[in-house]
Amino acid sequence: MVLNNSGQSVGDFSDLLDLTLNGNGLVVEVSPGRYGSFTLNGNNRIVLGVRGGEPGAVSEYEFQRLTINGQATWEVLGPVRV
Amino acid sequence: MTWNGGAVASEQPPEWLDFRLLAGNLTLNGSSRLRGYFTTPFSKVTINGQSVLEGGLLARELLINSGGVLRLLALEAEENRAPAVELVSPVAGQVLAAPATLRVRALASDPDGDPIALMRFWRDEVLLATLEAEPFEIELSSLAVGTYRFRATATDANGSTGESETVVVSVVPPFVPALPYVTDFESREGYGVGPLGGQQGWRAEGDVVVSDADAVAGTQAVLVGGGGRASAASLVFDPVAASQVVYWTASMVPVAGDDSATATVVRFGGVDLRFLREGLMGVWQATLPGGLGAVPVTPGLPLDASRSSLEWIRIGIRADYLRREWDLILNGRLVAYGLKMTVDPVPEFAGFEVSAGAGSSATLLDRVTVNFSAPWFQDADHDGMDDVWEETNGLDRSRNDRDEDLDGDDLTNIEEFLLGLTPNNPDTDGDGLYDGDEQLYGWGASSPTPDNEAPSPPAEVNAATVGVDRVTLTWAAADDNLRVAGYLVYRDGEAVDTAEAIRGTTFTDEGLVSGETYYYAVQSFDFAGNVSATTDEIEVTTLAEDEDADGLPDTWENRFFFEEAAGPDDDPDGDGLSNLAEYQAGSHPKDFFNGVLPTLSDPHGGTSSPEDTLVIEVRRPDGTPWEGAPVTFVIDEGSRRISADRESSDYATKVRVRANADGVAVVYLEPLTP
Repeated sequence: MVLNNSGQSVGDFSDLLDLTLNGNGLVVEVSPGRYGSFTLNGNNRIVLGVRGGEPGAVSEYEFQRLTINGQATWEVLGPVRV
Repeated sequence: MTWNGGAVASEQPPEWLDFRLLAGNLTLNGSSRLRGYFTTPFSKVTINGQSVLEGGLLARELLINSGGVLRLLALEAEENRAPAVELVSPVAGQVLAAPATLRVRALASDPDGDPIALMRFWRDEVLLATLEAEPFEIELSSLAVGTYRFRATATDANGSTGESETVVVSVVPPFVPALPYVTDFESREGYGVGPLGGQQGWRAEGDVVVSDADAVAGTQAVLVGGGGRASAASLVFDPVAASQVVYWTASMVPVAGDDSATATVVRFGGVDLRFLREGLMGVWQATLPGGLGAVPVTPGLPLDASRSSLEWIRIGIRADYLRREWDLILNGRLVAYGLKMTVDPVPEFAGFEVSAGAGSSATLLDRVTVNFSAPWFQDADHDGMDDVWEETNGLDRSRNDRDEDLDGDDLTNIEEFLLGLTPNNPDTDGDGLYDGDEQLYGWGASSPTPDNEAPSPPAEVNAATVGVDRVTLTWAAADDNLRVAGYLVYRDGEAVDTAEAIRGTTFTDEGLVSGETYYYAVQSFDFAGNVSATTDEIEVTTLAEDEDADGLPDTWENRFFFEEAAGPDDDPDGDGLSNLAEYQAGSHPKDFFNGVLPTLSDPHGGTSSPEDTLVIEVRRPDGTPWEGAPVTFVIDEGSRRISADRESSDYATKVRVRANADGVAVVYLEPLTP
């Protein structure tokens, strides 16, 4: 799936495999799970983890490939295992 | 994995990111920055340009080029913190009366979120109990006089143990107050600010403290509850004889509950009173015998946002252990009476308890009294009514006459006292309506109520008995929208003057003339003075006097016979009706015809022979022969005489005979002897 602007949506994360963020200003909160290849371009951002989650709870993610280019970032809100 | 200038946006703790790379390499280019712990045992990690890798790293190979930075952070060992433990019962400084019963209860929480595995209770250094699950609570009983130090320790699932503060409790010798009893919880009475339990004989459960924050009498009062758990304050007396009347009073700021478990409750020997919420108001309700429900016994009392009464309330209870009932006095005024005690047999009075639910508001308690005499007024006979009021209103202040109805207005004396009415006047407000009726219909017996509706006229008026000089009338009761007050009896169109109003459905009119006919009618009237229509008149004739008791009234005999003898079976006019029959029929005893004119034929016969007869035929108005009709023949002039019997020598100029069966009357003629 390729997102080019904020009008687009990932939809159900359980169906998501590959994700590419183009353009600028996109923020995608990624649910814990297993994914394929993620590529972040421009100044887009993905968010991992849960803010203020249960003590001791860890959000788990699995990526086959992860590439972050340019000014793209990721943000970690709580304990995660990648 | 490749970072080409992308960075971690947040400055999250490095331990939040546990990054494990199972294949491929990790490369940071440009000015990328990553924080976390990276485990890449099969990978090569390359940090180029101005990139920074912070945290921890496990890698097969590490290459740092140019201005790349690897910043290793020490991994803090995770600390297993000890649970926090608090003894919530008993409270520090609590004083109990021996032999005491004490509930020891603790709460614990673990800052790491670990479960509490063990809770241990200690008295001094003696282990009392070890509990593995909530509630962490034990009860100790029969504690003797002494000082006890309690603490609790809690151990979490990872083995860390926390300890509560030590709470010191004193058990003192029992103190039994005497009657009459009064307390304001003041320091001059020996009360100190702090837990009430153990002070001056009081027992307490939950949160019960003497406070100087608010009081209605003096400067100190008691707070019952308010700490989120059910609480109770109680005081034990030596049992009171079952025949006694006990007066209990207290000033309170009660808290209204939705049920008995959350309400402020006053309870002692057979009395159970609780303060329940109804909308925005609180209402005291009395528990019914056997606990079968409750009835409101006070008007609604305003509450604040915390469901506490807006103001202090003075509760008074008059418990009559002889009659097994009790009265409630609210702020000095009787508001409910004759409430039945909750249990049977009724226990003796042996103390009381004030309890509060597990809410956040405390019930305030102050100025408690227990006595054998009423604190509100003099009440020598203990019947719950003020002696002054009893004497003023004609009641007996030396005996219990509360359930009597002196003025007969269907309100008992105690009801009149409750309502502020006069027990010796059935119509307190003078509006013509009985107090009992006005209360029944909700019109208020102390203020006049207009009643413009007349009662129905009485029915079935008749003379039940008739005498020589009196007539007793009866009738069916009239109906009224309220109540018929009485009846008016009219005799010959004039109201009979009676000394007292006729209240019932019978009346005897006396002093009448014997043998006279009277005409009676009856009206009904109500207490407002409304009068019904008059009934139809009935005709009644009094009996005549009868000195010789022969059934013929003296006046009748005098009228027709004067001094003649007149037996009841005689038939002087020969009309076949005895005198008694004539009297009963109202006919004339000496008038054969009884006022009916017969038809007489012209006399015929008697022409020349001395043997001749003279005949007259007598007939009724319908032409039939009138047998037995008396006929008087008179010879006015001439040379003949007449006789009723041919053979008789008794000839005269005037003879009376009776008609025979064919209505013919015959006399016999003979020459007048010179």
